[in-house]
Amino acid sequence: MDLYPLFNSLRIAVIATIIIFFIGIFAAYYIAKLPSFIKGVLDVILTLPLVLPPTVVGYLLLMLLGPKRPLGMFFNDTFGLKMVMTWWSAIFASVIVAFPLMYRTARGAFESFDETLAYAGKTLGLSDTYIFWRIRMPYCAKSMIAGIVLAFTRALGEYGATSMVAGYTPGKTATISTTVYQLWRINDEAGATIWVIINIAISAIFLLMINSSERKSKKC
Amino acid sequence: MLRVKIKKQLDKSLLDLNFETDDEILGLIGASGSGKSMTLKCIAGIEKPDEGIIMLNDRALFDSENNINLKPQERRIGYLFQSYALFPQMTVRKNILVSVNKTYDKVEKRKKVDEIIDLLGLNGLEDKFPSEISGGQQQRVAFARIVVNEPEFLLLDEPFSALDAFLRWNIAKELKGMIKSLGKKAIFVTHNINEVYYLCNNAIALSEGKEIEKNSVKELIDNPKTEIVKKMVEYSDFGRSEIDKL
Repeated sequence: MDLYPLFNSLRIAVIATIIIFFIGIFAAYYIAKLPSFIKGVLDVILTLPLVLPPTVVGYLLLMLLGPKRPLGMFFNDTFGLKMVMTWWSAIFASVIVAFPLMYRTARGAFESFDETLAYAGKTLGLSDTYIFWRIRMPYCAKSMIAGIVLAFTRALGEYGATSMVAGYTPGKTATISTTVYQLWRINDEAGATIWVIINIAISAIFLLMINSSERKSKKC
Repeated sequence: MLRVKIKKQLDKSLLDLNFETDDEILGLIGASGSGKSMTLKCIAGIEKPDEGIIMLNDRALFDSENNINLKPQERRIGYLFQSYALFPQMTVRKNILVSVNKTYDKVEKRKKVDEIIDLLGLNGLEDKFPSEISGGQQQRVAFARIVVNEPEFLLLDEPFSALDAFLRWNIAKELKGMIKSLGKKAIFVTHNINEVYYLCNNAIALSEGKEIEKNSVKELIDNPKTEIVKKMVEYSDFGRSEIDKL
């Protein structure tokens, strides 16, 4: 059995999750401080991918990154990089589709943070960076882990936008989800079932991790 | 010597204060919303006044005309919060250790932490988390954190309001002793005139962002000039006979 889709899906999901984590927490942190009107507008834009059909996201990505589109041409001419129909194209799709899960979870966590702790840190001479990573983030750790797991499992299961921007090329852009569809299409029910089970198993394990981390933190 | 002359627009009123203090502990008394906590936040640099000047000894912490606005980290002001604001994910020891003045090296820092733990009787609590110790112990840790930071001035923001009456006076006594031993001047904010009576010689009464009375605490209690201070004094004497009249 060719395990390439598993490897490819995992690397896409891991890289996408790392990107989402950093962009998500910084967006959540800085947007929370903006005036409410701008905050509302940005909030809608950043949450849209959660409710839009992934095909719409895929379409928009193709409009941006396609070989004859501005960004696509720029990357092709400057770095010789193809932005669509490669394995890493799926990262763009996964980042956008799964981003709102991290962003919203992080924003909720930051809003529940007791700002007095940051004030105390400042008056005690701690740097803003230290306060962010050693006081604010640990305080919100439970939500952050939940956000990471939700984003990771969503990125792992991304199909719609991925199939549009990365397509399905066995051994190149095939992911678990596109492989399931492909195998079903050619009537390979046994093959599709195996990949369905693999996907459910990985996602279930990660969701279990959220539950156990919640149970652990209840103790303190 | 602390000099504060600031203006800041609040939600419902304009905070407009002008005072100087060289008292050991100056009382700042007023109802919630009178601007007393905002005043402390402005002095500490957590909030920025719209205009004015804040001088600590010869150092300008804030000066709108000369565009000076030191970060809280640079002001060297110790701030004791009502909730104590101990870092919940750090042990007692770590809470104190991260607060030690930056000028010390690693070995000296550890020594400072050990010293203050001994001095404030925190032995045995070093590895506990803030949620695992009592309110009085939390206050001692919060104070230890401020001491090792070696501030030049102290701000005490209603440190007893979260405590029940039974504990309040024991802890007030402890805090008074700790401030004395630290030898730094302080401003103490509260809505309870009895606490001011216990800790301060002089006090300023605030209402809606303005100073309404400034006097020795004895005068404030014996001869209040405004209705608001009069009420504060009366309510602090609220006893069983008054309850019977309700």
